[in-house]
This record gives sequence, structure tokens and C-alpha cells, in this order.
Amino acid sequence: MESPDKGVRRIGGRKVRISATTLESFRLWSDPDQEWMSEESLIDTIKGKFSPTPKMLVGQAFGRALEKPDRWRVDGGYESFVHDGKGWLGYFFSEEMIRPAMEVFDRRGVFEVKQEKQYLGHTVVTKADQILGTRIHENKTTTSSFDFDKYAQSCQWRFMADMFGASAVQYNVFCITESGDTLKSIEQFTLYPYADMESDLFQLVSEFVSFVQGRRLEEFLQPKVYA
Amino acid sequence: MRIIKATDAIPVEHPVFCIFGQPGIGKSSLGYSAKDPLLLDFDEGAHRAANRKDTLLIKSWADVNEIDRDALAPYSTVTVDTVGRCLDLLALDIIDANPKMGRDGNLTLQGYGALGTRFRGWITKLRAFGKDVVLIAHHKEDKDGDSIIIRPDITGRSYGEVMKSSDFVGFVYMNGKNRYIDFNPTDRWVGKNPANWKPLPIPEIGKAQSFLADLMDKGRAALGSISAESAQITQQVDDWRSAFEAYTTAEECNKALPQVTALTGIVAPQVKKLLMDRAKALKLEWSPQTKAFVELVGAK
Repeated sequence: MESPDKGVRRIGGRKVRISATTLESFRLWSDPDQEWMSEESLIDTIKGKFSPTPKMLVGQAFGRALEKPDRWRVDGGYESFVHDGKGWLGYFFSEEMIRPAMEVFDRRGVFEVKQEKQYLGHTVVTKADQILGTRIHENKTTTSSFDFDKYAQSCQWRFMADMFGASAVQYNVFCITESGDTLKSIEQFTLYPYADMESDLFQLVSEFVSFVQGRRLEEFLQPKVYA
Repeated sequence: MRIIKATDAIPVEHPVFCIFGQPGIGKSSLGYSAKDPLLLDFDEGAHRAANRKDTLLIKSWADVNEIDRDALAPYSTVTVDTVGRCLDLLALDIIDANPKMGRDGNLTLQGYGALGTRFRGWITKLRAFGKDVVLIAHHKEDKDGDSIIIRPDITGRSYGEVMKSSDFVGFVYMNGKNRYIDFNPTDRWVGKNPANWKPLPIPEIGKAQSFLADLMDKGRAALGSISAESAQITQQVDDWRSAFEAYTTAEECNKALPQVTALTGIVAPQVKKLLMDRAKALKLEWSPQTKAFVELVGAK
């Protein structure tokens, strides 16, 4: 069998530990047509200086309310809290808004499962929202309109499918308004690993590591050492 | 009524295949190679197909509304040719019924919502009638930086509906004098490939009379096998969960460690997480030095 890293340039130097989320940021930044992410912003992400936007915070809060509704229950709905880097912010979601999302949210399986795997000697880490059998379930919340390709082209589901050895990745995308007071739609679909997926991932890791080494950013991608 | 447990496999009896490619490459002919097909000719192009079988000309969505269970009884597969034009007619029907859903001949955001709901409902109905579904689309090339990415030619948000609804998405192309269909997503085209097929050569039309019928059977089997394997793994993980729920001490958790560490595949990370969750519930702490769970002093 042909090695999946065939044709990928082997890179020396310090080994790094990378999250699949950071690799996705790099993939998005690498798109020659994109203008919204600067190199500086990508480097900030690599350095861990990332600050969430208000839209992201609403999405995170909605996701939290769905995952652990009992924890965030208040009169007439749910109020979940997220940290914006400076302090905790509370977001209220009404009962009417959250009920349809709860109905499609499958509570079976194992939640927040971590995994890591070596690619070209570098460690990639990821966390699945939920695994049921051989299927990964990813729950996303967005304030933008639904864009299938945004999810299908992402390397995140590819890394998850490859690292866990999953048979499928099912997405539940909850589309909400920017104000966070209306659930516009729920979009569900399934993506599957494919024949050359692993070599696509080797290629991306190789390109990312070249970028990191070229800018001497390896020190920001080292495993945490606990005393 | 039959309740399917989480640990039972759910067979995918009627998969949806989406096939796209350039005009004239033989997509309609492929559509006719499905099992006992009825081709819904939205594009008025079926007359060009080499191996034409039963065909229903569709001029408006009213024609679609007339297709009921009895009309479809002799057929095993419904081929929608093309799904782009099908969605255009559905959009017109939505605007006719409610002009507020359209603006300048196009659907509003709300209109697209209605389109998605009705399209999904229609596909679900065809599957409930016991039919396999083939969605045929022309291809379009979108510029993505220096490269070109090829997608099914379906306008606006309808594209997402088709990609969501399809279990398999394959691109038909010529390589030299040979036709191929590739279900793999690549940097050149989109795809969905639950069966992990390599690009498949398509025989000449005369020898491809049951090409899609055979492929759909294999696809059905692949989806069934995914479901069966998933059900088996779910059962294994559930067995571990039940065992952990009975644990009350660090000693019991530690005793399970060699077995848990020896697990492989997708079971391993799930069972490890369950054990960590149980240890946390018991207020145990993981000691990296001794590589074991320990009871916190004063925790109980």
C-alpha cells in the first residue's frame, strides 16, 4: 500500500503540537481569494492571542445552552455564560427558540472526546463534540447564512474522521440571528472520509509546519508542561 | 411500530445519488442505468440519451404534484434530470403560491427556506415510497484563487440542499477516451464517498445498462455496513459505561486501566473519556507520577 505521506516534503527541526482548529485557520488564510484574515491575525491565532467576536460569543453561548440545558435553566428559557477574554458574559435564549434545536440534539453517545495523532512527526490534537458508535456528531452555531461548502471544505472534519477512525461526521448547524433571539434554521448533513483524505492532511500539516518554521513560531506550539 | 434501539443498525434502504458533469458526457444515459428507472425530464433533454427508458416530461411543478405512489409503483428508481432545473421549477411554484417569497423573479431568504423544506420533503416522500433517487446536474467551474473547483450547477442556496440531501456525490469526467466517475472530494471537484471508492471507470453505454443499479446496490451495502459497525461499537461503549457506573472507588477505576489502555480504534477514546468522567464524578484525581487515580484527601 502506498504511504499517505508520499510526495510530502519531510521537515526537520523542532516538533510542534497543533490543534485542528489552528490548521483550519491556516487553510482559510491560505486561500488566495480571501481578504478577511491577515497574516498577523493568523499568527495571533497560532500564538494563542485569539479574541472571539461578538458573533462567535453568541454562537458559543447557544451551543453551551444546548449541550447542558439543565445547568443553564432559568425562568422562560436558558441563560448561558461565555468568557470573552476579559470577563463572563451571559446570553438569554427563550424556550421557544431553543426547543426545536433540542429536538434534533442527540444526547446519546460520549461527549467532548479528545484525540491526538502524529503527522510527519508532529502532533495534531482535536476534540469531537460527541461520538456515537463510529459516527462523530459536530454541533455548530452560526449567525451567518448557511453555507454547505464552508463546512464541507473544512479540514476539521477530515482530521476528526482520520484521527478517530470514524465512518462519518454528522453536522448539526444551528443558524441563529446576530442578536441571538431567533433560531432561523437547523441544517443537518453527513460527510464521509474518502480514499485520499489522509494524504490531503499530511500535505496541509507539511505546509503549516513550513509556515511556522519560516516565521520561527515553534515555541508557541509546544505541549504544556505541568510541574 | 418497531423501535430501533441506539445499538441497532439502521439500514439505508434508499440512498440518494447525485451525479454531475459536463453536458453530453452521458449523465442521462447513466440515470437510465439505475434499477427500473423513471426519469423525470425537467431539462427536456432525455431524447438525447442513448439507452432511453420510461420518461416523464416535466413542464411545471404541477406535473410533479401528480406523481403519486401508484404512478411510481412499477419503478424502483426516480431519476431527476436535472436537479438544477427541478429546483428552478419548484422556486417558481413557491413564488406563484406566495409572491412575497420572491423578488425580481428570485427567491427571498424566506423563499429559499421554503424551497429547502419542500425539496427535502419531496425527496423524503420518494424514499418513503420505496424509491432510490438519482439527482443529475450539469457542472460549473468556480474560480478558487489560481485553481478551478467543479461543482454541480445549482443556483444559490439550493446547492446546499442538494449536497445535504445526497448520500453520494460523484463527478463524471473524461480521462483520455475513457469516462470515469469519482465520488472523492478533491481539490478539483466536490464529492461524497461513504463507500471509499477509487475513481470508477464507466463502461461504454452499451455495456453500462445496469452500471448505476449495481453501484447503488454497492452503495446501499456500504451505508448498511457503516450502520452495522456503528451499532456494534455503540454496544461495546455502552457495556463499558454500565461497568463504570458500578464503580465507587479509585481501586476499581485503576483495575480497569490495563484493559482500557489496550483498547484500539474508535472505542478507545470513548471508553477513556467515560472512565475519566466516572473518576471525576467520584472526585478522584489522575496522578501522572503513579499513572493511577487517587482519592483526594478530604474529598469524601
